[in-house]
Amino acid sequence: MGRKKKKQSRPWCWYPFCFLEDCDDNDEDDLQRSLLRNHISLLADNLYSGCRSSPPPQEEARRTDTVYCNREFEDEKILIQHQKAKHFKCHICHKKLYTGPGLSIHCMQVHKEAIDKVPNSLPNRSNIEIEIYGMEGIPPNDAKEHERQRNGGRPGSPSSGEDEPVQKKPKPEGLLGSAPGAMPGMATGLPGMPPQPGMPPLPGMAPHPGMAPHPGMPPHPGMPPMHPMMPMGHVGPPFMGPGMMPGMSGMPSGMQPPVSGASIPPARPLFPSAAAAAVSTAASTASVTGSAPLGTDFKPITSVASGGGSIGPIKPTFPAYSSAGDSICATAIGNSLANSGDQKVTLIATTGAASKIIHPPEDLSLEEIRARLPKYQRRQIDESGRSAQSEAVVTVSQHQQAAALQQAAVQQQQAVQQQQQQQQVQQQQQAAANVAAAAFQADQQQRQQQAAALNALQQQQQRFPRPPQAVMVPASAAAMPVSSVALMAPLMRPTMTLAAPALIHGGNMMRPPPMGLPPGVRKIDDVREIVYTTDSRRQKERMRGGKNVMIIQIETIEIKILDRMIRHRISTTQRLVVLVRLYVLTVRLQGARSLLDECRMNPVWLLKPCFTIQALQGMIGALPPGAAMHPAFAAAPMGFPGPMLTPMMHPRFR
Amino acid sequence: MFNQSNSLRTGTSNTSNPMQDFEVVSPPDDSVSSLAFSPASISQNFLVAGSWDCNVRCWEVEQSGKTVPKSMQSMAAPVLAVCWSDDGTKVFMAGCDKTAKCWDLATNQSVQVAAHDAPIRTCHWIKASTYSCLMTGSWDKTLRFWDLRSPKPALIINLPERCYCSDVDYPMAVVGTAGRGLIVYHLETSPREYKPVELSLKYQYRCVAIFRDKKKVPTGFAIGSTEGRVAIHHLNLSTKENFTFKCHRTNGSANGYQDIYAVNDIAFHPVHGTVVTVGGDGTFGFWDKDARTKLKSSDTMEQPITRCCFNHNGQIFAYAVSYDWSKGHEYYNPAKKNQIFLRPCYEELKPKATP
Repeated sequence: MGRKKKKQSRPWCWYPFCFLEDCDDNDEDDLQRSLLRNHISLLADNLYSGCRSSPPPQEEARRTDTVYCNREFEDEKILIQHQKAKHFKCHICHKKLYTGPGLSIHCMQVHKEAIDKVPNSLPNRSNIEIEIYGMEGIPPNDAKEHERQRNGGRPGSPSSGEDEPVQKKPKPEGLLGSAPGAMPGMATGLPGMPPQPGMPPLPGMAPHPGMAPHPGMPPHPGMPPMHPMMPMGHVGPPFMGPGMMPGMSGMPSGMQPPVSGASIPPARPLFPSAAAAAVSTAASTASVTGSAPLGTDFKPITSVASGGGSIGPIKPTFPAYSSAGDSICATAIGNSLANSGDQKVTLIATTGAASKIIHPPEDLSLEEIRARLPKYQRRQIDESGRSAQSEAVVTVSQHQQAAALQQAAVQQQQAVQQQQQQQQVQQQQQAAANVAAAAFQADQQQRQQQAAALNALQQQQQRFPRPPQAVMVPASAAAMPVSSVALMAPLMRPTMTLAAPALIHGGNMMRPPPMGLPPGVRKIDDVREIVYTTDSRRQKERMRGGKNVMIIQIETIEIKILDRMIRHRISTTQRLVVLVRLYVLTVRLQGARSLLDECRMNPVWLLKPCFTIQALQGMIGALPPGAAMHPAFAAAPMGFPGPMLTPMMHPRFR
Repeated sequence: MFNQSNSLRTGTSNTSNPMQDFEVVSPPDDSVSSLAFSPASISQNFLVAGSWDCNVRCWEVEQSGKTVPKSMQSMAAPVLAVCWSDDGTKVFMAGCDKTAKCWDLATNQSVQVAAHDAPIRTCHWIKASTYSCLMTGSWDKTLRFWDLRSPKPALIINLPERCYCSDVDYPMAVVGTAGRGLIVYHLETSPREYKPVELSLKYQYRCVAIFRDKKKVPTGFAIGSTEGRVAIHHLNLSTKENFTFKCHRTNGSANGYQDIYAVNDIAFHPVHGTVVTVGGDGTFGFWDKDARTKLKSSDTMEQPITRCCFNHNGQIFAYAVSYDWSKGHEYYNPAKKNQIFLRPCYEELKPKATP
């Protein structure tokens, strides 16, 4: 400490940040790591939210002091490194830019994505237009204010909170390993706690990672004074313990449902992602012991529960990055959708730290992907029958005859389903046109229009059920309703009004109660088509459409997410997985957060093709059996004691 | 032969033909999926191209660089592979209709000669001393060998995964599959697996081509992956000789962000033994694998280059510019013209310093 006092003007970061990552995250930031981080942050949040109300006020002050400090650094080089890694890193491709405007331009040009605030920054310091590089460009007022705070603002120890560079944070593994027992004292005493006084007081304000207002938050210049200035100095050494890290995970703590580590048995991971990891651990052990490999069917819940015995040793066996031939590689869900039994589709990581592989994320050959387009299949259907008759074919194999028969059947089926789909389209148009049309016209540029039209065409085509014999093409042509998705406003802006907690009624999707399927068994193999709709009435049609059509009811928010995913060329398979994941999360949190919030906080979820069937299984498995997947679950969650949730729920949802 | 006169070269420096090469007339209506020049057994040069528009077209390429459309045959589904018989009288074509057909050029008739349970990705004509047959590799995870007189395959070899690419240069055959499987076969007397091969590529195999040693004996292969990388693998030399090189990647200077494209095709020059790669970035590159140097790289086409091939004496390099689906259907523009270009390449592909 004393040493630091000498340094009067150490470089500091203008963007106060709040994030759970090592500052020195390197460029080899692969999927596993980022996924792991997701787990960490989720778990961490969990822990944190479990403990956040228990520490005495002094502790709180100390924590926030640490969390929301304007970090200071040894020298400007490190500061610049920090800024690149924390504030100017593209959330899509993880490229590190140098300045806020640089990031903004990068995202606009490369990803066609508008970024309107600096990542991991507090709202009053999130202006992406301000060009700050290291210490250069900091508004003079802020610089003065910082000086003032350092020197005079805190009687006693002038810089105890900010001065100390935050030490190396514990490695994720370590944090995880000690997670359940890390904060024994803090994990208790939750039930009945009143809501935090610092709950987000500005309903209109977009929740933002790291901006959760908190009583102990140091008031930054320019920020509306929400709390009286609190004495912040006398808090001893800045917080360094692992238990506090959760607070830095980038989730608005005020909205966090309290999930205390004590209340949840470790056997049931708190969050789907953790569960996913647990499942993959289970999967890997299963494959080691020679039991049946992961098939396309979901694993029974029990196995998940037993497999995820502890959250601790997360084995990042994420197939997204594993080799294609890996026997435990994930079977993308679309696989089963395509009813293609034995085929497994691995996903490849197409986006690296500074590069992007121009290839669809599925590890299929381009020809296979292309061949599954109806355009190329229809011709086959149309012409193969004819050619079989008209041409002097030396050998008409039995295959061909069988195929011809099948095709005839398929064509009939097509006709029937086509009718249904026309109805669907109409309904969807009604539902979505209002929302979509205006935004569409305003936002789309000509090129995008073309793309959308093309998209629309293709999707229209894809709405035809694919012939069953076309098994070589996994990842079904899950039809996105043209009307509702392709035409949506392309950007998910934080200024967008928040919708009600957007539940995907994936309950029906994952385990449709009226279908007469036993709980836990998902006949996902039968699903040929996925229809996203905003209309709840469509659920009735699910019955009519039979089990081959999976209908997912979604809210407009999800449409935007979907749209965004489409624009990022994320495959239907992954879109589905992401949606399911979001659904599960939402249910988990009992609607305490909207999906939009989730996505804002972890845009990686949307943009990284890192979720697999295993993860999906994990999500589903992590939920309590039975009630979990039913929409009614939202009202009476299992696994979380009810009284604990209520006080912590976001005001909006009460 | 195929002289350098520019008189017939199409257009000025337009973007659709940045390399100022001869453009093949009446190109396919959809992406070109396969390309093959006639063998040395016939004096003229014929080029056949299979396309996603379900047709196989045949042109005669004249000395002047002029192309004359000769004939066209249709398949029931997109064509994925074409090859010539050794005597140059027949063209084999296979594709998504799960069949392979034999197109007799003399009679302009085609008959089905092979069938699979899934689309056929590759086909090659094998001319051995004791037998000749058609080898087809399919997404049904089999490799089948067809005596043209029998409706039943003479031999079925099960592959570990779907066949993605293959090459045959008697007596060697190489098959690359999904899941990064790679099998080398020895075709003498009857096809049998030669030896397992370990490669260092981390991504899906997309194309493979066999190369020969100085004595013109097949000795190894080059295999291209979707991650803009080619591995050169010698079968009988020490592993020291094996290496990979990167290609078809943007240098990223524009935004500091590198785009990596798939290597869509590889071909070895029949005389010099140098190699050409074509990629999804719309360029082709000439390489000397022995000197491990790049000989030339082209300007960027408007669309990816999907396939390429050399004619039998290595005078003409043909490459097909069309969409390869690497950016999904969103980027598929059916209005864009598919082109095949012919380039005099004999000099350009000479190794720079002959050891």
